[in-house]
Order: sequence, then C-alpha cells, then structure tokens
Amino acid sequence: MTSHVATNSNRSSVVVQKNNTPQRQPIDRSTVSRSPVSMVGKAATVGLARVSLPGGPAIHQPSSRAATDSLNESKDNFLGKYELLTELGQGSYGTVHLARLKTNPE
Amino acid sequence: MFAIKVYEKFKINSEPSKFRNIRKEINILTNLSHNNVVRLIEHTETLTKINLVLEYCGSTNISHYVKKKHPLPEEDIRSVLLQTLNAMEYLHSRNIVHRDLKGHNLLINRHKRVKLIDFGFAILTNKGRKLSSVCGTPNYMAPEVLKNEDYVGEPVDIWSFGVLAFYVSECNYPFKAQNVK
Repeated sequence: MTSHVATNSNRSSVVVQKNNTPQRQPIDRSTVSRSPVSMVGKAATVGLARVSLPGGPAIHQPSSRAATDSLNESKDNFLGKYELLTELGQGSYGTVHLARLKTNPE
Repeated sequence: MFAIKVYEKFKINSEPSKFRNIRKEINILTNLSHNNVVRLIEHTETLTKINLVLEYCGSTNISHYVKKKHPLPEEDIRSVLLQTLNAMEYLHSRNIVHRDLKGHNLLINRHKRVKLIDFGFAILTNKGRKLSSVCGTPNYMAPEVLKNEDYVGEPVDIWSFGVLAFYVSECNYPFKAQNVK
C-alpha cells in the first residue's frame, strides 16, 4: 500500500492519504497563535451572503447560531457586528483574526 | 475579544472531505463547554467563506511559551500539564479524541489559563473503536499512527500528552521526525 504524505514541516499537522480515501488537509496550525502582525481591519472584505452548506447533514446548533437563512443578505454581513482587528494567523485554508464586538468595545 | 477563523471556500472547493471535516469541527465544538477548551461562540457561512467565531484564548501558544521561558518553574509545568489533562479528560469522557494535541494547539493567556484549540482532526468515537486516518504532527504522533496501523483514539492523545510533558520540561522533543516516512 502506498501512502501520500502531505506536510510542510515537522511542526505542521499532517494527514496521510490511504487507499485513495478522501482525507482532510490541515490548516497550518503552527501559525494560528502567532503574535499580531498588522492592525488592518478586514471586515469589508468578508462575506457576501448567507447560504446553507451544499449537501450533507444539517448541523445541530443548540448554542451556536447557524446562518442558513437566505441569499438576500448581501449587505447583512454577519461579521458586521464584529470589528476585525489584527490577523492572528494564516493557514492553507484561510486566516484567523482577532476581533471584538462593535457595540461593546473593550 | 474573539478569534474569528475564516475558511475560504475557493480553497476548499476541490476537497469535499474538507467541507465535511469543517462541519465535524463545528459539530464537536458546539457541544463542548469546558474551561480548558476553546469555546465556539457562533458560526456562519457566506457564499465565499465559513466563519467560526471562537473565544479568544490568548496570543501565546505553549510551544512559544516554553521556548521563551525555558526552564519553566516546576509549578508552571504542573499547571500547564494539569490543565491539559483536564481538557483531555473532559473530551475523552465524551468520546472525543483530539488527535492533534501539541504545544501549538494549547494557548495560554496572561492569567496562565491554558486552552486546547483546533479541533480540525477531532473525532467523535466509541470505546475501543478502531480509527485509521493518519493525522497529527510527526513529533507528537503515537507509533501505531506513524506505522499506519489501525488505532484506538484515546491512547493516541495520551502519547501526545507524554511528548508534551517532555517538551514543557525540556524544551525539546523525545522523538524527532521530519515527516511520517
């Protein structure tokens, strides 16, 4: 059996693909808690509209609000209530931002 | 304060399994509530992104913390490890295996509160159920995972904890691997 190995460095999480089974690819965890590097707010670039995930089971959400309402919310950006501050980390699938509630600045 | 994890869909579109894993990550986090485990406040999805609003747990991870402060006072070593064990005990009591326990996935804040983050590899399992996905980080991986064998979940986390205990004390790894080969 051959294995395909995906890794960036010995510090990054890896996943090995066996028997052509679809496997997850890791977001680069080694960067997630990096010190803040910029103060650029990025709220304006995030999000167009809310849609449900294509296919698959619905996520049961007792405490965390799922946004599956409608497509006509292009202006109602969910992140609008959050103010994005610094970027905490970069991964292969996206980024982690420090944020706070706009209505409740600390 | 929050940490918002933003997944870019265009980077995931070629991998349907990644979508499933993000959904799994959300599902697992939604049902967790523990002082040493990151909390998911809410999540949402747009046409282009999946956003996870998470509790902010501090900007320092244990790996960097140890590098900066080595040698840690024994009291701090005990505290970090005990908090990690509390998180693990909580997860395992709910049949959840983290599968990527490591210094980089433990954040510490200025009150020295430690929180386990990143449930991208976590899985809901049953007692004794055999798993097969080779995942984790080479230096922290249990031998059975590295050898590509089927494995039971909890012992794999416990192995990683052993590596963590060594690392926190010595600022070094007991075993070193560049990759899983």
